Amino acid sequence: MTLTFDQFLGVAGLVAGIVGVAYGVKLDQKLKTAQEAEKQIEQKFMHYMAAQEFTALAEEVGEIMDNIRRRDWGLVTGSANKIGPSLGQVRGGRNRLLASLEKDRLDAAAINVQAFIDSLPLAGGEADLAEDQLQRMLWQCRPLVDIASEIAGRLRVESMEQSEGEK
Amino acid sequence: MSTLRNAMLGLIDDPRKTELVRSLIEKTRQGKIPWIKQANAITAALPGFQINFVVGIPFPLGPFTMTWELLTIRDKSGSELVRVSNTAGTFVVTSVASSALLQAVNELFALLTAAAGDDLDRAINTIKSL
Repeated sequence: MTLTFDQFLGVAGLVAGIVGVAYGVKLDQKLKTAQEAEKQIEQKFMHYMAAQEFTALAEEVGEIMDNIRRRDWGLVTGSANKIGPSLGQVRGGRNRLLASLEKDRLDAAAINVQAFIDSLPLAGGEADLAEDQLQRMLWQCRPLVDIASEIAGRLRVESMEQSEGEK
Repeated sequence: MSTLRNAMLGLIDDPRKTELVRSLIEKTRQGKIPWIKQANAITAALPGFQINFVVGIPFPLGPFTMTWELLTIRDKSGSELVRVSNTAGTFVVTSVASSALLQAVNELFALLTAAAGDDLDRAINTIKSL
């Protein structure tokens, strides 16, 4: 059986078409894999950044607690005024990464920190503060350190688990 | 008009929130809600709902009394149906709960903490009977 030139061209075109489609499918798969990998890296980075922010928040409040213990009221007042905005930024910016209980515990901790800020002595009134008032201030700050540290730990572990999964 | 304005500002609560908490009290008494007690919270996951009680740490120099700080009830999409704070002077957006709602939440919390005591008694009796 012999093929005419037209038939040969037709068969060659068909083969070229099939090869082209297969190559296209393969390229599409590669693109999807690359997109998935990019998405995973983005997620990992987001978890890592969020963990860093929560760690920084916990450290900021920890420093305030240290300054309360040292009765360094100038530093306490300066840092305390920055905690509200820092907490609001982290709470709002990382809302999607938080479990419902974490959100609630953060909000409850924020209420305590606000009560602490409201209880700070006015200039000149520091000397009148009794020991139990200092203890109460520390007690009001502690929940925020606890929950911010817990969230930071979880997010850090999750970012590492994602990288393990990629291997 | 002022009632509407107050409601929009979150200054009064929908009485149905109180009714929802009251129904939780009733179902808890009947033992139909599986509450989970954790160090800082008491939670329950019902079909379509998540209930979180944030529990306060007792003040070390004060009497050892457990208090609640925040109660939220969310539906399955995460929308908040009820949000009650036990502390005044908040900068987080929380509505100021009506006394009826606060009373109902206090009652629910008291019921849960009493149940925690019962669980401990049961554990003690179990260990003793070994």
